[in-house]
Amino acid sequence: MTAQPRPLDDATIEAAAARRAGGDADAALLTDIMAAARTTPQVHGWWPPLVRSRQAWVVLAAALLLAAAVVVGVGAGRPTPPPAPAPSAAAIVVPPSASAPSSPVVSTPSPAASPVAMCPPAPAQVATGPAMPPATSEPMTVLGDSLDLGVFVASADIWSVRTGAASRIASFAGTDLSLAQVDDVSPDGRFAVVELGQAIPNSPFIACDNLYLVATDGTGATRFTTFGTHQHASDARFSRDGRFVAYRYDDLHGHTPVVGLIDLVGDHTPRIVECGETSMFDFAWAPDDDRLAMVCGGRLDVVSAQTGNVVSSTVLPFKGEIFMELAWSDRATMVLVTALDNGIGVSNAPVQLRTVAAGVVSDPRPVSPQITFAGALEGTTAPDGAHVAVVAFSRDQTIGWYVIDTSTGLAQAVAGPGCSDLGWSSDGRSVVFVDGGPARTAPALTLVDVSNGARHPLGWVPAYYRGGVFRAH
Amino acid sequence: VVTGAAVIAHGEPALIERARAGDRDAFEALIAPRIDTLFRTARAIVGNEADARDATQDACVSAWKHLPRLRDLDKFDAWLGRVLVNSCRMQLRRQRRVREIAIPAGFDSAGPRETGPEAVDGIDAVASAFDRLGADARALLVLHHLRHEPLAGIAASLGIPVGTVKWRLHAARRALERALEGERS
Repeated sequence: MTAQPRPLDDATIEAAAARRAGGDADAALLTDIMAAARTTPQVHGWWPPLVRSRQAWVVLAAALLLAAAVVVGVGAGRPTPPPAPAPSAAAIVVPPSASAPSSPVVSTPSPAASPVAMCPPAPAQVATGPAMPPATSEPMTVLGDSLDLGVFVASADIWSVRTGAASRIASFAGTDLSLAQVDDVSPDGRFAVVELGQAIPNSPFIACDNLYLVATDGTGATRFTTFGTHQHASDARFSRDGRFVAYRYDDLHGHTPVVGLIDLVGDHTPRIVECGETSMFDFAWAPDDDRLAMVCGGRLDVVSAQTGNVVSSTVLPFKGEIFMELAWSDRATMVLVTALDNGIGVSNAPVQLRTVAAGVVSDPRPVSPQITFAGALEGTTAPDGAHVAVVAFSRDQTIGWYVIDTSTGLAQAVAGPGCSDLGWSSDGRSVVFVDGGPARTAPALTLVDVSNGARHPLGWVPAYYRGGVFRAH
Repeated sequence: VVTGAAVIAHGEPALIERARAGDRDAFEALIAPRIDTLFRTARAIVGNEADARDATQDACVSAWKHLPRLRDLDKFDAWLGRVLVNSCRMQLRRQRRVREIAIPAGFDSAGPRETGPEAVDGIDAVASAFDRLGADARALLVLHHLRHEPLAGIAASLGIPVGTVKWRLHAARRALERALEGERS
């Protein structure tokens, strides 16, 4: 029988919240904000200043009512025009490489919301093809043929690009633009999974996040989660065969973060894999099948996406280490990138590698030359598992992206501060990222050859760029 | 503590109007008296100073950028609060992939673990347990218990009945209690 948690009183929660709040902001914060505001243009709505006043809206409403009355009068007795044809939202076609599931097992009841609990006021809308409204952003142009594929969000548009001018593949509405994000692109490049968050009007809360599958050729889009208020899906990633999508799921109902799974070939029913009482910190697909590795608190679990069964579970018997990244270096071996918290401070915590194979966790191996933990930023693994890219400090405390060879532990700087959206080539020999360094007038898409450090500019990202997924040839 | 439903001081509508028209000095005059409240709210939600600074800065720059789209001047504080919580949520998304590994019981070879209420500061444990909650639960608890937003005010801003706010607040407190048990186990 599970023991009931002790109830908390208001004063304790209040004191705890106050303790977390800490002291006041320092003067430099306001200075930083105003410095950023000085270089940030304002975004103006479509209504002219005259229309902003309430009186003007009253006059406008009266004029619209009058016009409507005239139209009804003129049109009385005429046959109703046929409805406009619905936009042809192409159905999503499953990847051809995926085979039909033999007997999918739903391991856990779906957390999906019923339609009545849908995000208010209505789900975000994604339009493709002729149904798209006029573009709200400009295309970017990619030079050369180094880029295999890029899918990115700019303003309310989703773009796809390989070389030359990007193509607008979808447009979205009904969401706060800052809550739109391309999470991943399928291995065959045919689909992107896009996360759209919605906020409740006039509320400080994000209501929900749902996932959408968008064809990268612009032929269709569909939502494949139906989460309602205060249910959130994020950080979605395709399995290596493109059949499954795994994502983080959390809600307001006290669940610890869990992994959600969708079988794009099967019945599309969301399943969840829970870590138990501890938090889940990261997950990574196996390189050759549908196994999903998850760091669950102090365990490393491997789960079969097809059956939902735990294939293996390894206790991580170490403490004082800060988790940074989980990767598969081959089909039987996983790599954990951690940082040793030596008590001086996380910025002095040296990065190190451990491997996990057949239930055995290796001793930590320092990365050389030494780099240290840089904080709450993301890492990413090369498709072949031979390298992992992390954000870390060099010995002189310069922050940047470092590529670590998972077999030798050699670390190599590839990008400086202000870089984001780092992706790999399929052979793991080059990385591509958006370089938003302070010296630049606009962020640039840049390719770096890992073998010799050579940099190749591929083009500027457009105004109102909001992030994307890129991979090189 | 300045509540989220802070009364806009005399002259502030004119400041907002000027800031909306692109006057950066007016925007600075608007933000300066709110910066501490914004930062403390962000810090209570995201849990550390560095991320709170980033979230506060992102929120303020976003507010500057989108201020021309704010039509109802009376809603400035509620709108700014929403922008801040959204920024905190985005910050937490970035945070989620880099967390300290929890240590399973029985693997501490340094000696017996101290247990019991005398071993830990209860308030610190509750503060730490916030980290196990989702962003919305954190925000709900912070707005209610730190910023002292009245339930009716939260209900109005959420567009839901007061009873629903109470239920969600209850759920968030239960989640915090469970998280606290996890901290102590």
